[in-house]
Amino acid sequence: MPINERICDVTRIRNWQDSIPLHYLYTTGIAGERFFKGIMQGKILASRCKRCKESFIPPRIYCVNCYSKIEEFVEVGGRGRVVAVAERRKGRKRIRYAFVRFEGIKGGIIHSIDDDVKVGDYVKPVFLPREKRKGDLSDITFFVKT
Amino acid sequence: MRKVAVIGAGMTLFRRRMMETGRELSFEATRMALDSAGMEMKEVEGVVMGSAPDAFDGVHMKGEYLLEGAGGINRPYTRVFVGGATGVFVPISAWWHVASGLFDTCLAVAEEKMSPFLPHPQYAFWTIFDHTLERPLGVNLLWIFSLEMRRYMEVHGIREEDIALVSVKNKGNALDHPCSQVAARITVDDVMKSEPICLPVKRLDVSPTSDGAAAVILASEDVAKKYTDEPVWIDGVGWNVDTQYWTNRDLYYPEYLEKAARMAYKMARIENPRKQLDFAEVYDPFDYKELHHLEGLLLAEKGKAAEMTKEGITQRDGDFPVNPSGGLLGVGNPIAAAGMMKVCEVFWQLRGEAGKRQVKKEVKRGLAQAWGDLLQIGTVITMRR
Repeated sequence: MPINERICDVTRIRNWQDSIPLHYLYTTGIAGERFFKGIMQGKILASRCKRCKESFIPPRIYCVNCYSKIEEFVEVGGRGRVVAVAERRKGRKRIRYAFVRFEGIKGGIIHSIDDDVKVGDYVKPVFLPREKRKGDLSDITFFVKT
Repeated sequence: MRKVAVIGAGMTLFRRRMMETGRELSFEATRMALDSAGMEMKEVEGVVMGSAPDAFDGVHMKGEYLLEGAGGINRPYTRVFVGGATGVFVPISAWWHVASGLFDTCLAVAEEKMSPFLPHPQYAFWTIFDHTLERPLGVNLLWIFSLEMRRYMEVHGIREEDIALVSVKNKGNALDHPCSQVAARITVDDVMKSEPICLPVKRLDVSPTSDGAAAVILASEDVAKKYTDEPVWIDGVGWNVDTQYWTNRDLYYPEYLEKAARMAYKMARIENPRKQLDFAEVYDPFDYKELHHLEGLLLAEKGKAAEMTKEGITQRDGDFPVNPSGGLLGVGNPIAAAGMMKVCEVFWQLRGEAGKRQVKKEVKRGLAQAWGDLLQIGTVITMRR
């Protein structure tokens, strides 16, 4: 028997229920390992291609332009700038995310931002106290205006 | 159709768990293939990527996810997927990219990172079974392959000990492979006494789960000659898929594989494959599968592959070496990458670049084959100097 739209009474058709448990354990990879060790030290690292003289975030072990192997990782020195902002509300709380790019770097990252940050603002990351860092993106609390 | 050559090959280590991400593994294999061809990525016109079920990584857009590592950015890029047979299907697909005249160069990359799935990658295969007929039984692949192994033994009166010889040979061959994961000097007795998994399949009858990647570079005749004096030609390709109701088949013989092989042989003008081919890299996720596939490929008569193995014909220094690389049983089984590893091995053997694995006799023609989905598909490539 076909049911055109919503199934209100599932016993009207013969059916099977199933679920497949999915559990994963991911490695961060070679570049990711460098990146998150950098985060632990309060630094944002990019990978730099010697040949193209270009740097990338998130860091890769290969150049996105010329496909050379990359072994050089550099700290992002320039300021971050907010390219776009998205906002949602959770109860009375505002949760805001921004797409942040850095001067002279290809790529960018998405992270939370402080309440007063607007598109076009220059921003910097605020890290958790050193002893609380775990080596993942939550070590950055949010980005604030510089 | 235009002539198509393989001009470079590369692969990563095969390991239970690699630190590298899938993208990074793809990069390592591809970079090695490019370097071996003396090529840069900008000279690659198209890219074909292969990876097995998305469930391993839990990224349900795996082709796109891996794209950057495989050098696919801003290029005509395709992911192909035919289960375990993917590894040989990737270069088949890359072949038609070039044979058709649409591309002069095409990169073929296969990657698998099985290790993320917990508690064991085997559970990821739950996602490929029929949800009403098979999954409720809690089946996995070992379970249905056990049925196939038993049927094969039953029809031909083959003993487990005869089949174990394949594992002994391949794990031994893999001792000479720098990328191998489970190479070992073992005996038939070791196989017989190894942990029962799903009888008649025992621990040493089956390949491991692995992370790894492999790649080859294909080029048209004119372009290939600019890069190398020793192109290896792909002269036959074949593939054939049967229904997913694997219960439609008498499991003792893979008819779909025979059809795939006949397609490749016809293209390569091979009438007597056992005589005209010099060696083969046959898909061996289980030891009985090497025998099963030798028969499906018409390289052994039905029921005679075990005898051929016993007589030493399939040893690396034998009359018809089979899996001189060490195969999936010895080198490892990162699904799609394992099939591609076989294509790499045929390339290295035909160029005389296989090092300690180089087969004793002179080789001019070889075959690589993979198998997959639910006992369902065969993919075949024949190559010559």
